[in-house]
This record gives sequence, C-alpha cells and structure tokens, in this order.
Amino acid sequence: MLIIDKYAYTNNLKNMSPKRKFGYSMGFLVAALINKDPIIFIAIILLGFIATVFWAKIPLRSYLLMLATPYVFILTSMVAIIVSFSPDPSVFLRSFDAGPFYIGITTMGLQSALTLFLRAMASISCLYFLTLTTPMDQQIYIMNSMKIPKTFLELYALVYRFIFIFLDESVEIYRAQEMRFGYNNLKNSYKSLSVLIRILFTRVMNRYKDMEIALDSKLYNGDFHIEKQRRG
Amino acid sequence: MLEMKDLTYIYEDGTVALENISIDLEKGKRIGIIGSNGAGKSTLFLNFTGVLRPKKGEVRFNGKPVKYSKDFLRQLREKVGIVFQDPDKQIFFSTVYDDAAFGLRNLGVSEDEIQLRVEKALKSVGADEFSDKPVHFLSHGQKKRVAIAGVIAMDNSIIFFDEPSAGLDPTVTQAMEDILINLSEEENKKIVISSHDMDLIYKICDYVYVLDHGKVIAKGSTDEVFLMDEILSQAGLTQPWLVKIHVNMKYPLFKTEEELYSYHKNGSKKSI
Repeated sequence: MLIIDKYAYTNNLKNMSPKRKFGYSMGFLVAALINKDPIIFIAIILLGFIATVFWAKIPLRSYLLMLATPYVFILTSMVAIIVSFSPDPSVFLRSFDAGPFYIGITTMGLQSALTLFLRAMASISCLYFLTLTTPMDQQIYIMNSMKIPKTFLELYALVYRFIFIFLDESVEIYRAQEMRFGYNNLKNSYKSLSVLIRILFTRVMNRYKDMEIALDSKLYNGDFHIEKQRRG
Repeated sequence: MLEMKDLTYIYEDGTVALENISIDLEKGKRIGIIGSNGAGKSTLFLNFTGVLRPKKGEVRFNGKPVKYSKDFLRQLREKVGIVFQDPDKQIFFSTVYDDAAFGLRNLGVSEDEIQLRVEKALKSVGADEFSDKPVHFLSHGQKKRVAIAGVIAMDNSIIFFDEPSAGLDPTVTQAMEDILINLSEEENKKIVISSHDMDLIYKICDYVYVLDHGKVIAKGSTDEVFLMDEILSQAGLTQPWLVKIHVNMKYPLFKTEEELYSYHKNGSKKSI
C-alpha cells in the first residue's frame, strides 16, 4: 500500500470540497513561483506544514520523512549553482586557486541558490498538501472540471488502479524469493531481481488477456466513463 | 434459453479442453458444473459466454446458434453475465460505485436509473457499507461482493459464477450462498455455478453436470448425481458430507444440516 495514497483517503480533510483544496494549494503555488522575498517563502512553507500536519492531521514523522527525499535532491543540485569558476579571484566571496582558474562562491550565486531552494521547498509543500489530502477520485473530478482530455483521465484512472495490483504482485514475488534466500548476497539479489521483473512482465500480459475477457463480458465499447465519476 | 450442443473446444496447442459437450440450462434453476482442477469448467463458461469459439458443435441462444459478430455477442451478453473467480481481474475502477455502474454505462442507461440499480445491487450483496472506500483498501471477500454487484446491476437473466466460494472464509461463503439463493428465488435469475466445493453445490443446486477431462460423465438432479460414488471418484471429487452420512450411517438423505439436527433431536426424544 502506498503511504501517500493511504493518507489521501484517511486524512482529516478528505471530505472537504476538492475544489477548495485545489484552490488553496494552487494559489500558494503560484505565489511561490512569482515571489522573490525569502520571508514569504518561509511563510508558505510554514503554512503548508501547519495545514498538512495540524489541519489534515498527517503524522509529523511521515510528513518529515516524505520531505526528506526532495530535500536531498535539491541540496545536491544547490552545489552546482553555488560554486562557480572564474580567472579573476576578485568576483568571489571565498575562493581558492585551481591552477588556470579560481573556484569559489559569489554573492549572486549564493542569493539565487537560496531563492531557488526556498521556492522549491515552498512549491513542494503546496503540492504535498494537495496530494496528501485529495484522493484519486477527487483529483479526477477536479481535472474533469478543468476540461482535461478524457483520454488522459481514463489512462490516469486505469494506471492508478493497476499500480496497486502490480505492487501487490511484486511484493508477493519478492517475499517468496526472500523466504528462499533470493536476496542473501549481491549475486543472488541481481538474479532474483531479474526473475522478478520477468515474472511480473508475463503476469502483466496474462492480466491484460483476462482483462480483455472481463471487459467484453461487461459490454465495453471503448469508453471508461470518467466524466460521471463522483456523485453528490 | 441457452444450451450447448455437441461442443468441442481445442486449445491452440492441440489440447482438447472440451469434447462433445451437450448442456441444457433449462434442466434446472440453479445448475452446478462440478469437476476437479483442469476438468474444463472455466473453458466451458467462456464458451457459453461467447468469449471462446468452439471448434465443433454450437452454443444455442434462444434457439439460434450463437454468431460471433459484435451485435450478436452484445445481445447475448445483455442477457448472460459472468462473475470470474478473481475479483481483481474484473474490477477496473478504484471506486466501488463506478465499477458497479460500468456495464450499465456501456449500455447507455440513464444516470438516474444507474443510481437506482447500482445502489440496489450493492445493497443486495452487502457492499453498501464499504461503497465509499477505494477498491485497493478492500479485502478479497469485499472485492468479490463488488464484482458480483457489477454483474447483478446488469440485470442479466442468466449468471455464471466461476468458483464463487474460492478463497473465501466460512462467513463470506455463507453470505455468498445467501446471495446465490436470493438471486434465484427472489430475482428469478438462472444461476450456473462451477465449483469443486461439493457441499456448496449440494446445498444450492438442483441439477448437476459432472465434468471430467473435458467430458460430461454424468448429469442429473443433485440427489441422483451425488449418490453416484464411483463417478465422483473418477472425476476426482467426493460426496458432500450430508450424502456421506446418508450412505455410511443409514440416515435419510437431508438437504440441509438443520434438517439432520432436527431429525436427530426428534429421533432421540422418541427413543427415550
């Protein structure tokens, strides 16, 4: 079971109008994208944190763990922005001589890195609020009212359904392999993983065949009827 | 309304899955197809519903041989529904309501009527309690109920159930029996059940076909068939426990366990 999905269906705001949730998070997202003031970024991050943890009641620990992943990516990419090269040492705050040129940090680089970092974190906290409080059927409802093409929504709904089916199957295969020491050393792990992928692929194809039969017996004629999803 | 005449089905690899099968669904209200694993029960159902095309012989629908054209199959499947063994293979939506409504929406039924029929169907299988949960949060038994609701909502006159009790706990199996009986008694549906759960078939069905290696080796009313011990062993099956008690302990043949208990109670009173 995907943890984000679990929270989307169980959080305190699951019954709130999806348009409101979407409105809040998109409003702040746009603000985060046009803003340049660090104070406002921090305000948005805090607001997102409070809304998600205290209002929607997502456990603090899981929320922080979920934030940790993008943090790592953003921090590593920061390095590339902060560090610059130049033959002239006077443009740097701090620098060292690396032979034909100098490597160092500039005020400009530091500033743009900070803005970028805060902007990314503010945007992430807006999007986390949305994904952690809005279940899939509500997401489809919003996208549908925004006139997003039906074909995309059908794909979205089907992919979502099948994520769980294949996740369950791969977990089952993994456990069965693990019980028989399939992952006890590196060599076995590689072998087991390749077997897992192969089995999963054949199962996907078998499922596809069975699904065709089931669709035929339910008189499927090309439409997945997304437009009427969500009652009341 | 639906029957099979001398039907033979051969798989691509040459395996004969069904051989000269004749089955008439008019013989009973609740028909059982029993056989061991690999006897051909599922293949038989797929031939009945027009998914597979027989090599020889035919399936007759309302007296006419089934044509494998889109139009004809649509007509057939408006009347004939099938509940597959694995609910995950027939649930396409993540919301219970939308999945149950899928078939009706394909038929172009109005949303108001869909709501009436879907809610009734969900209620009749006891799925209304969890209808607001996403499908991947449901247990196997709950998914099974949703899959059945999707077929019931179609209001077919014949419904095939492929191994309806497979993988279900005793409580859900009991609920499944009630659903099957209710469909047949209250809604007047023809029910066809494939199973190797002999007790279930004995309790529910009134006419039984025994399938072994793709052939019908016996047929008849439930009481008749389950007394043919040799035939059942040949097919890799056993007698239901109530029949075993009748044969081995000289009790009369009871249809339900309650009958046996009340007989026993009254009988022991008499002897005092």
